[in-house]
Amino acid sequence: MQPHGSLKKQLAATALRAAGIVVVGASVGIAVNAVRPHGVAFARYLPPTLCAQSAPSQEIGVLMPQQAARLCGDDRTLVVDVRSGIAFAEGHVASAVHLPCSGSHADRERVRAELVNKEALVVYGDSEEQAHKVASDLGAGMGRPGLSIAVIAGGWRAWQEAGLACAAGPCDDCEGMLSHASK
Amino acid sequence: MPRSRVNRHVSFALRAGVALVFVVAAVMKIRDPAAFAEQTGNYHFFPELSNVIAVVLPSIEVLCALALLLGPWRWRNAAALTLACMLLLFTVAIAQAWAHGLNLECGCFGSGSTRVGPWPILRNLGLLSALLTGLWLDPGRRRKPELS
Repeated sequence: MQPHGSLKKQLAATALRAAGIVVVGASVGIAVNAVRPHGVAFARYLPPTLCAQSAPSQEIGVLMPQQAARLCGDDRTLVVDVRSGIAFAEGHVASAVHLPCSGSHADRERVRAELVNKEALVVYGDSEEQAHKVASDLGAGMGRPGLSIAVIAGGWRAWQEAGLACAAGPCDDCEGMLSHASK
Repeated sequence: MPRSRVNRHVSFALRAGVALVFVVAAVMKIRDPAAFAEQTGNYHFFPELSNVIAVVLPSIEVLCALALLLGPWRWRNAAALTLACMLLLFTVAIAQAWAHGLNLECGCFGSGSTRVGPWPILRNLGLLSALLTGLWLDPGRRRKPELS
């Protein structure tokens, strides 16, 4: 049995050596990165944004705002707003989740997790093109051929101009709208 | 065969296994540091440091693996301590991502790694067990400390 003081000293020495390994290892890594032709920039990593990359081709439908409104409040549908955070805060389709064009892959994965039990995905933005990019990105790689994906024709502007009840705040009228649609 | 000799062989085999896994993992990460940086950033654990981590972590893994396998026993201990801390940190990161329902590549072996979930957590715990058992059976551990 080693005396307590000796054990403490040994532990301290081991920790010191471990720190030495980390420092030497880190230095080697930095040196290798500096000399390699395609080393990564030694600054904060900015993940690629959803709209900055070319989205894989995906079959995406287009819904008129009134058609999309029938899906509002349906448990099987996820509505995604791809506009900026400020625009989203000012008003959005009730129950819509926010996944901005400037979102990262991690943000996309969060929304994909919500999509697991859904049957339809409706995306809108300031423009159809913007919504299309995010919708493609979301749908690709999900392995869900049964998931129907659509964007809202004319985006948020068309939704507002149609004066739809779910335009902002809580979706109070959605149930009425759904029952009206099913009649 | 005497027990101490068996222990030495088992310890070496376990350390060699762990070292091999870390070398393979490091090589995969070094091959595509940008992809590894993205995977690291996706965890949202110090995202501003994800590039730094992608640059330094693989070389630390290689150095630890070499020290664990070839170093004198004091350095083996230090390497094992470093690797154990890293494994614990990785496990916590994967577990929190899994708990939040994130569907991320774990980044354990660079691009093309398995997704976060029970398998990488179990693998990390298995590696940790092998590491600690290898260290426990290491005959160098029983040497008396030098008086110098």
